[in-house]
Amino acid sequence: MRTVTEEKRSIIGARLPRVDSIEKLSGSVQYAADLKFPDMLYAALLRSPHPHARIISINTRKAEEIPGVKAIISRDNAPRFLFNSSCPLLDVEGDQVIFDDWVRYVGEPVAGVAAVDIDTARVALASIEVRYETLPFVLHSESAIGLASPCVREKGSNIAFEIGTNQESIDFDKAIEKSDYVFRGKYSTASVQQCAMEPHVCVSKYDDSGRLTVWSSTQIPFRLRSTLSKALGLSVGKVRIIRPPLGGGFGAKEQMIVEPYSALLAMKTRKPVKLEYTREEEFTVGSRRHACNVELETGVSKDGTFTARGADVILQVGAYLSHAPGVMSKAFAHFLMLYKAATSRFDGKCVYTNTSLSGACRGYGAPQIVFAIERQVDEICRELELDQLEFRIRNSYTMGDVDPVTNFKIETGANEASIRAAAEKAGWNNRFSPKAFGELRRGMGIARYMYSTSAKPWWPEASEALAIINEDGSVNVVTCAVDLGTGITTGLAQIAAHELQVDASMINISKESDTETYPLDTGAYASRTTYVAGGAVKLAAADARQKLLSAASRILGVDLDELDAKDGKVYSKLHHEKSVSYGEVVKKCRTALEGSSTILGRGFFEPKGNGPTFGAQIAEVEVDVKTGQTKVLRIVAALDVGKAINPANIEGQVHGSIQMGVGYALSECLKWNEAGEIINPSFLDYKLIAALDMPKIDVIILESPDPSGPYGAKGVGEQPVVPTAAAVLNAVNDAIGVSIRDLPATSEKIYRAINAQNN
Amino acid sequence: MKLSVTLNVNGTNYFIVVEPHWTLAYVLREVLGLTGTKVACGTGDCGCCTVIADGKATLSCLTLAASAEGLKIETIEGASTQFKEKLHPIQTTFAEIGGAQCGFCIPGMVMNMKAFLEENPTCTEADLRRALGGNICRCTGYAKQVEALISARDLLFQERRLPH
Repeated sequence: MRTVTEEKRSIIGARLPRVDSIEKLSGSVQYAADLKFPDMLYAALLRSPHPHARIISINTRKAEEIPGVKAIISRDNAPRFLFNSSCPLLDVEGDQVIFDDWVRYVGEPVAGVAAVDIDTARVALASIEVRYETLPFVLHSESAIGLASPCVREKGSNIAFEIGTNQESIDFDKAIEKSDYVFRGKYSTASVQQCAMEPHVCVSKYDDSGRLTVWSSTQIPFRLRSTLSKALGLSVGKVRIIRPPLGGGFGAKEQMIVEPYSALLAMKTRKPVKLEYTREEEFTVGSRRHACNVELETGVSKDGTFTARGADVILQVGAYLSHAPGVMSKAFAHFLMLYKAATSRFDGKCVYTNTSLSGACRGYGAPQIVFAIERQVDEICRELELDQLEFRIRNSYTMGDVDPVTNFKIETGANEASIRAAAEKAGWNNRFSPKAFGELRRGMGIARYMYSTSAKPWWPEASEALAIINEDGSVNVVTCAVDLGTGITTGLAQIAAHELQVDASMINISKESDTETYPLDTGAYASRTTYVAGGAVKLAAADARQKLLSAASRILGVDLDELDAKDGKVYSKLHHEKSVSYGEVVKKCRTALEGSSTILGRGFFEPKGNGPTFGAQIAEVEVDVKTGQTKVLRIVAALDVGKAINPANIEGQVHGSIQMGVGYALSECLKWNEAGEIINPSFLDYKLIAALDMPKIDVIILESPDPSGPYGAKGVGEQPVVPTAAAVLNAVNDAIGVSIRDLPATSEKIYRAINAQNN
Repeated sequence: MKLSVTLNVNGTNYFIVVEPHWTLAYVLREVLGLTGTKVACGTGDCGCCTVIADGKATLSCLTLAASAEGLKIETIEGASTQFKEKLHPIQTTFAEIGGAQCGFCIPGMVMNMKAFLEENPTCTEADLRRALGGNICRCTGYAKQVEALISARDLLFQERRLPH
């Protein structure tokens, strides 16, 4: 394990500028929203004004008569096949259809219009008459869980999904009883929006032979194809998903949201139909992070170890299940893997409410549970006067332990190193120097994580890639891996360049996805792309190299063992003059009279583990005790990435995560009124951290390679958002001695907490 | 009621017919096909649609197209024409340092900062951060962008001071 400090000569680990930055900077890159086809129609959706109602009738006659309106869809003419909008890889019974007879949240689509322009489509929506019978509704998960609550789904329980330990609670209670100290606390996190700058958008086209093509801003082309074909009742092979360059996702686009409506309208009109969400739609119905309540009951012994760890967790799902079981399973896993304990108990409930769908969001359940646990650890250490660093190190899982979730032996991990490196850089040991500056109080707090890479062990993991050598020695790498903006396309190109020993400029890599012509990749989620797609590209390039060597051996009449490939040439290691360029090999292979072939490498990768990553963040904050206004001055983030393929891109992931994590801590929060409407659906009323509010960030990249990943690489994209909010609120606690347990900790909340303490 | 207007965009005059309520962003993207300008909120909060009108950074989603007649409008497509590598120094430094991730906020940010640097060649990092307040980026935490902008400022400023 070592710290990455200097540039290395290998392309692996180089700060290669992004292969897609020039077209993004010049504005010429075409996102899905920029696509335009001849005769294209524009779609808009009519939405329910009620949080819960039965639809009595939908009258579209007036709307149909408006010039320019080409098609209207609603429950009266749409297919009703059940699906789950998270596009699960495994077969899961769905709980929603495109249009139902009931609406279960404000904003649920009731009808869709395709028209010659967007103005006409919106005017037509206003002419559709819908009669509703309103029904009782419930907005909050604590109320929805009660026996007297209205049923979100008309019948049955509001508990949508449960998961937990099989541990007898009697054993747990005994362990708590025997503990020297017991800590109990309720923690809660808000629902926040992913806020990708590009809204959800797609264009669908249906041809006369019955084939549907959808250009979509999706993170998961193959999974989307599967679920979309299910929702529409089409054969999978008839559906083609093309994914243009993506304007961010953060999980919001790991969900089928706009596609069924646009596809259905395209099928009705046989014309291309574009559906693009407005920012208001993004905030109200465009996916969001699950709000979460966590109750912790924790036993600690005098020597500073955990004797019992218990958690009751409630996730607010919204009206349809979507990602909730996955997010709760991830929260469960993170509860178990964050700290050891003699006895653990977990009870997780996903609760339906009459609110819009929650979904995947960077960290997928971990930021919620880690916030609660790391806040409580901070409280425990303060109360028992234990060392914050040593307590964390002592109770963590580390290399050599067995992962409590997967039962895999942990073969990697810079846990202690990440904590110590962050502490050293942040000046942790000097943190008690003067903390008060007039009305300002400074404090420092730490939080850590352990986070697995990829969706294993819950889902299978698989990616495939092709590496094709061209007649001039240039290379095409074909992969359906999705670059949300992370820079992974560049990382994959570096991997191919390394394996084939060519300059990175010779590598031409897919910048979009196409399910019809590209090999399988299940998408961008679970920080899996470097780890899994990277493994596939590595194998594909190595396979192409092997084929080059075999062909060159025949061409040069030299034994295979004697050959090596470098700088675009295959040469004899003994007689350097005996060589042939990659391009020549390709040309000779293509034109061989007997057994002509191409040099095409194929790689299929299925990792043998799930690459556990570790990291710690230390936040330094300044609180104005007169106003409660809190500024995060600095964050030191140490993270173990296994192997840094491109350190600049890793830093980019950390910087962006911290913007999101500080927002999660201090300002971001979707708010509902009593009628079930979201009341702050704009960047004006939903406060993101701006450039001037950003803390100084120090990124410390640590490399503890994982034998299961390419070159030892593990995931990077989500991890850095996981500990940030806890680190910030632990620092607030350090500064003012107030422990805030619910997010976001707005200035007002901090101000009130200070006042409550003083009175 | 439709209006005939002449828009001067990147030095070219376009004679077009618009609805009175059409925004400049809509006309640039949907009528002129200049899709480099992005719309990410439509309400003037995010800065993605920023263009330069008569030297001033302007939110094209809040500007009616008909009211833009007579202005010299510059979009991302025209940002780099005067530079030899067909890239403005902001674009060069963003590419080198990694200031663009998903890229969706970038055209608006480049245009806003281009106008800002023209007027504030001696700006500080804090000035740059304040000026970026109207550009929302969800990917980068602004870190590499600020680094790139400082470098672009120095490049532009040095070039200007060089004797001709």
